[in-house]
Amino acid sequence: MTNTAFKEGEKAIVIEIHGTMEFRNFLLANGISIGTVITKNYSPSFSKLTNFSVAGKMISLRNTDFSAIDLAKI
Amino acid sequence: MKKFALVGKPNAGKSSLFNLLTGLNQKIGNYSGVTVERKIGQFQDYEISDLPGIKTLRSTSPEEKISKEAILQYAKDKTPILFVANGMQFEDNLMLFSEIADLQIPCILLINFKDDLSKNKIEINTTSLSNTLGCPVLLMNSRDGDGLSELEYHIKRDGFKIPNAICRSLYDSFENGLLVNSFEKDLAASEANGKNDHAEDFFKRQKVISSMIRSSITEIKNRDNYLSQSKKWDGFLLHPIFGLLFFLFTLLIVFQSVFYLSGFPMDWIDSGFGKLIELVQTNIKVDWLASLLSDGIIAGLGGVLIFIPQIAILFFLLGLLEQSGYLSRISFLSNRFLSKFGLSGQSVVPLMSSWACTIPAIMSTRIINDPKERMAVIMASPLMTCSARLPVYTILIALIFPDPTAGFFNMQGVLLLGLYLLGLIATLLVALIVNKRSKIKPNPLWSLELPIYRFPNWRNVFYNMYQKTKTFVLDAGKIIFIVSIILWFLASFSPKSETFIENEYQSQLLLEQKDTPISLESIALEYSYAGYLGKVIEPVIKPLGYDWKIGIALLSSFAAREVFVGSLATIYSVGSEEDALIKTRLKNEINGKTGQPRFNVATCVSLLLFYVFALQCMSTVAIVRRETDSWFYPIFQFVGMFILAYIAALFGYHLFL
Repeated sequence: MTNTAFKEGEKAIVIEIHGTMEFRNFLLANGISIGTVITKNYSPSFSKLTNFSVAGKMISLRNTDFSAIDLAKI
Repeated sequence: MKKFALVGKPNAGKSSLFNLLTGLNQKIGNYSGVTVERKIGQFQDYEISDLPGIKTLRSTSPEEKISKEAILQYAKDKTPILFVANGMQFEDNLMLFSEIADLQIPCILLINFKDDLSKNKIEINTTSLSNTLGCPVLLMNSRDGDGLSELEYHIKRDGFKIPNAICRSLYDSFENGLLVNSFEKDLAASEANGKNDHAEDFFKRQKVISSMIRSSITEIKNRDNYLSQSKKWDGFLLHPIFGLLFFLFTLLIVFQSVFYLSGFPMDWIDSGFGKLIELVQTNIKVDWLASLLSDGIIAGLGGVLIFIPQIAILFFLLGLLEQSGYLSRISFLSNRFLSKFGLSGQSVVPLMSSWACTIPAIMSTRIINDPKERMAVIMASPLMTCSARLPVYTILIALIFPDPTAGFFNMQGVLLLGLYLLGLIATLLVALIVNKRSKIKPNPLWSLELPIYRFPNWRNVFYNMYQKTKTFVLDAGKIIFIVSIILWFLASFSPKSETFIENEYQSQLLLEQKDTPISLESIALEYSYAGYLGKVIEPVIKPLGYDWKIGIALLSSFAAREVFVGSLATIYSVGSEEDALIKTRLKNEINGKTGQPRFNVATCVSLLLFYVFALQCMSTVAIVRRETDSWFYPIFQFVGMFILAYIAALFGYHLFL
């Protein structure tokens, strides 16, 4: 599912993470791994960031980095 | 002395707890990365270390490196750890706890933000968790101290226990001496063989922790409600139009308030110092001592202490922004804009902290995980308007706009905001240049955590304001005290005899023009040691519209810019027969050659521009040297900013002449 198809307020499960091992480990340190459930909060176009909730935190990633996470809507 | 350390993820409330236990007043804020270096305090017989927040022992960022190294040392020494976990992010915090548990360090697990847990009806069975983990588990709220007595009881009883190992991989690595600084090498090896040890370790831990959570926590889903209030606020505050307008409105309110609210207290301080000078002059009969006290020390100190209300108000308002959680929203809002200058939202906290003081701001650049961006912020942040510039700006702005009101706006406040924006523009341009020219390898990994909005803790806001204002007064006061005495001496004594000065006065009286009155005091000042020194530098500063008296004040403020106002106060007190206060003296000062006011618009604009760009703060030079581990950067920065300041002042003077 693309970032555009993932609407604000929707929940999704992480099914795959692309990118370097350093990037995947960086996401792990932020609590994001395969199987994690996330809720999209906001992704205003002016910021080029996507903010989502994961394990009680609100985390923002750059849209380019967020697109490296494959998600399935739940 | 026995020791223990406070360890936990960022924004878990460690510093609030540290302050509660030690009675100290470390900075507290509602965002990740408030603490960037180890702080030491004392609680009864214990020495407590407050470590910067760390996400995992595999971290490589500068501020997390401090914590990682300290924790590995504790593992060797078996120094106990009080692990502070954010109750609303409990599983995530337990991941870090499990890494520490595997190092077999004696621990107490403290689950913080008890109030948030009860508000959201989340119950944690601490007894069951304690039995599973093998160490005491306590609930507490570090903001109001609820649960502190139970924690004190456990600490006094030496209740730190070695927890059960959760996933032995880290411990085994540590036993084999592989852990220290080996993660970077591990990463390279993992990339080569395609096997991600970190991920394997993470999943093992996650599995164990999930089962622990299931048996100890009643309702974890309520966390969505916990974040929903903040999300509602964000709907407005992160809105593409309203969010940006609100941000600009906030800035305007801050700078207008600095002038509006400080008017009366500044007048009280001003008249208080005036009365003190009168008192000294009437009651002290020894002429030189009365002059030293009234024209030197009191005039110098009074020139700066008058700005306490403005500085306190600025710190108070910045404290509100920090504690509410809004500062991280500013990071979010400005990320794309800052990316045009090679920066990111992570730079916002150090840059906005520079409005208070550049020194902690440069230290807080450790939260930026891109070394290239960090260097750009270190090099550029001294251009942001720090509180030490405020006294200089205020006095010069008052000379440009003697009548500040223009309808709804206070023009002095508008000009002040303009100077802050000029500083910001210069900061961004310098950051862009450093980013383009620097050969440091960038780190592309980036994330930003938005904390929930919290109502500011008034005690912390006021105490933070008090501490920072006190630091300003004491730091500036010490330097100004010494500089005032030296300047008074230089301005009061002369290599020429009194007869020579009297004769010079008489001969100049004969040549006196209507608009340029001559006084014996001003002739004596001109032939004093300060006068001679001033004349030496006058050719360099003359193109900027400054006379030798301003030159002396500039020279004396090279170590600390706030000294400028105190030095002007001393020089003009010694050289004047009036007892008027600094603002009136500067306003009445006449340029002997033109017969016009010495501090006309052109000179004031030139001085303002000089202070916008010049790096006149030795403490900043020292901290840049420490953070960059090189003399090249601070020297380059100092010289570069001085040249920029000179050119801007020259341009400003001729534009308004």
